[in-house]
Amino acid sequence: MSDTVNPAPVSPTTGEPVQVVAARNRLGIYFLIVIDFMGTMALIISYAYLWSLNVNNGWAPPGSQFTAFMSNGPAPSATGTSFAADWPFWVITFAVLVTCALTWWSYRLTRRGDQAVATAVGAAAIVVAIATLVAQWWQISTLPFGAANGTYASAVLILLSGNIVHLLVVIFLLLGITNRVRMGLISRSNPWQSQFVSIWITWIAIAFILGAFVTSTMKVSPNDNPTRFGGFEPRTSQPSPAASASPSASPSPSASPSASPSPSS
Amino acid sequence: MSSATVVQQHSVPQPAQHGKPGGMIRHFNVVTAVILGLVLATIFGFLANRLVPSGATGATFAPVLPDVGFLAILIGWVLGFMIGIGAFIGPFRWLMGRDLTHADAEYLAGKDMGVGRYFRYTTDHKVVGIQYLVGFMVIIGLGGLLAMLIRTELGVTWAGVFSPDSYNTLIGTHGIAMIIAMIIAISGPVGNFIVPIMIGARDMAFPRLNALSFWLLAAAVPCLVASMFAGGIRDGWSVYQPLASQSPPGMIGYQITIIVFAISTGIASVNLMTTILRMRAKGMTWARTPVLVYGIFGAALMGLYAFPFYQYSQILALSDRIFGTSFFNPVEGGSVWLYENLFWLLGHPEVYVILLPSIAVCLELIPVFMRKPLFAMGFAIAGVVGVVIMSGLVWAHHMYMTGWAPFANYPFMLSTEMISIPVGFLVLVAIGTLWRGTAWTRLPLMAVYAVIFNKMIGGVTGIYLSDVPADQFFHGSMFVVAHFHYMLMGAGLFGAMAGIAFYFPKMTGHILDERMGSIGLWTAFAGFQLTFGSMFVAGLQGQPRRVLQFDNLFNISNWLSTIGAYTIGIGMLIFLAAIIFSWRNGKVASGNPWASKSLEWQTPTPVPLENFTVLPVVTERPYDYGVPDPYATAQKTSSDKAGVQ
Ligand SMILES: [Cu+2]
Repeated sequence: MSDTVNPAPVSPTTGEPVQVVAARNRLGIYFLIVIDFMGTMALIISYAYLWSLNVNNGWAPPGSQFTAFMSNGPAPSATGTSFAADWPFWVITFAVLVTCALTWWSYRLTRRGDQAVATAVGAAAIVVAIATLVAQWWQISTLPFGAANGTYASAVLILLSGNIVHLLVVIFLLLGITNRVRMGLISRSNPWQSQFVSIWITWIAIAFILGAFVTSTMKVSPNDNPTRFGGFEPRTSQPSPAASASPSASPSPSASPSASPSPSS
Repeated sequence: MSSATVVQQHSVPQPAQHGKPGGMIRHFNVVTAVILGLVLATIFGFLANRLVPSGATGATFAPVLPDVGFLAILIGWVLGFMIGIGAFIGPFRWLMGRDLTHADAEYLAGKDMGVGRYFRYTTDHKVVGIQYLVGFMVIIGLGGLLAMLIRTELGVTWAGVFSPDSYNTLIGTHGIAMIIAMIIAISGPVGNFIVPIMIGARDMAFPRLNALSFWLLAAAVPCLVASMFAGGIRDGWSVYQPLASQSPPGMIGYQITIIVFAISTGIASVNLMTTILRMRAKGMTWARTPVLVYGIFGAALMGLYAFPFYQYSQILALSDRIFGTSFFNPVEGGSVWLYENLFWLLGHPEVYVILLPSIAVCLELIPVFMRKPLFAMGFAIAGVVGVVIMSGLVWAHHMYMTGWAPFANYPFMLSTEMISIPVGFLVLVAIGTLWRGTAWTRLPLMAVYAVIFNKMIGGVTGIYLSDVPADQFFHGSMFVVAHFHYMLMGAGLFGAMAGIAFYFPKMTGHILDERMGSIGLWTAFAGFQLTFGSMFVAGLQGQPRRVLQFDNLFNISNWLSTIGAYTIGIGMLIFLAAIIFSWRNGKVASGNPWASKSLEWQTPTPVPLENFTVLPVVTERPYDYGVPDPYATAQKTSSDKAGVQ
């Protein structure tokens, strides 16, 4: 090791220059983001796939389309159930963006050696993140549908559960990094962990944007003539084929697949 | 390596040593892990029992308590086990700002700890490699035992040894146990133990994540075993929907196993990839990087992008089951095709996660035993890259006959048949290297011969299955079962045996007993041909898979398969005996018993904690066997010239 020529500080644990350790850790963070991105994509693909299929006309929440009477919980009320409101998704996403900006700012301050202000900004980020978590919980608990109310409800709830997990990780990371900045472990000469947390939170913000985007753009399914598998509805609850507005008097659904066949027919 | 004197303004604060090196983690090991796991499992199960109203039923009218109770027990187990092994101490220390001192890090790496380090959260990559090796053998032993039971039942039609439900459980558990075993077969032991030394590094990039990946695996597998006592996994390893949502709570064991195992694989992949990209020795350019490193890297990359889909398929299935969502329940708007897509988005790359390291380890050792350079190494690398890219584009060949997007069958048929091109590169490189070599036929090379033979049969039969019209006949038959066993076992497992035999001297300090080892290998090989060769016949005749009752027409081939399976069992036991015997008191190995040129053999055996006292500098390509030494030649020519002049 050319100690005298290379003035880079070394990591206390491995004895390597901190830059070397940092480059390695940054790459690790990027790979972890790839994993989390693919997982998030699995949820988004599921959302879009179910939205496009609208199997058994079960996409939209109950009240209008389908009552999940089979579930054990109380039957959802027929009125007031609908798609989730858009604005909470975007307000929460905005709050995550604020957290993200504060984290980057804190990192910049750390690089400049402004430990006290960096700690304060980090603390502000923690406060915003916790408030976001509360808001996210509030959104979930006030949704006009439950988990058993069709696939839209399922897809939204799983996305929001993912948000909760992401926020918990963010809060853990922010608590740790801010504490470490306060203790002087993250400093001008070794600010990298602060940068990694900022990179991670940037990805989390992107994940929130993706989630808000799909939930607010994919609502009513484009498939208004979905495959029908029937269900276990009592026959009386179904509108009889004769009463439907369809002019077709075809008795067999298989003969005319475009005439919405109902399971009772 | 202390450079505390460097520069005053830029010094990094040195962590203080709190108490003895290692700190809290001194109190944790596998015993505390098991105890805490069992305690939390009991507490969580008890709480579930208290909190869930008795008689409550869920969306499928099934009672809720067994599901929730079993889930709670498994979560308690995993959480308790991971707390008990000390996995949460690292994050906690980071949170509190109590960084590791050098002494702490050495304690964590198991310095001067003796055998105890194998039973702890030890970060040394060599310890993790050995842990993976033993873990692999345990899981494959479990899966192999189940395979014997399956073949016992199938010896004659409806032998009646097991009930249909138990039989299905045997199939499902065997399948997923073997898949897990084969995924870790080479990337675990060889990837962790050998690859860092091979590239001239002191350890993996993230030693603590390395320990975490192994112990997560150790926490996951007992969930699989537990599931056998909770109704079992009755739906094959692919646990298709909606069957899976209607099966007993044992299915939750599968789901938790996969969710935890996916985390383990993900962080192991991150670790291997970062190590390979960032920690190669000075002078180890990409042209000088051994082909095994490429193979492991490719497998890790596929695991990285594909495993989350599998993990989320199981998270969604669990959510359907526990929270009444309807991702895969068509009555309430779900789609079983969604499940199949998510599943096979991993399911197919996973085949290459298994095969790529296996072929790469063969390519790594052929030059050593043929004493000639690897033939067309560029094609080998192109093969790895091609497989990694294409394996993500073929998944729906598992769904030709499900009715999902029939128009997509032909593109997927094309991509599937195209992936045989990069795979062909890899096999041709192997054969080209074998061609006209002077074979030093030791046990590892024998296993390579077995791999090439099996790979050929597996590959050729795969072409029939990739063909949509032919698959209309073959799908769901024993032909498919025989095909994928030729790939995953014939090429995968025999490749792992090659790798274990080759690296055994470096990993254990002893030579693997050639005589016992080769008897075991060839017995298993003969049994393998009998088992799956006759299974091809049964499949061609039309015997469906997953069915324990079959027509008398298939009696002979099934009977032969069963005899073959027992033969495999005997062969594998002999191989295992060779491993155990050689490990305990086999011939002591020198540092480089195969006279290999690559870096990992240049270290002494047993490998010291820091691998290299001075980090090596690489100046040559890895396989220049029998090639004139460029320096010697250069000196000779210059001196010749000098003499002439
Ligand atoms: Cu496949």
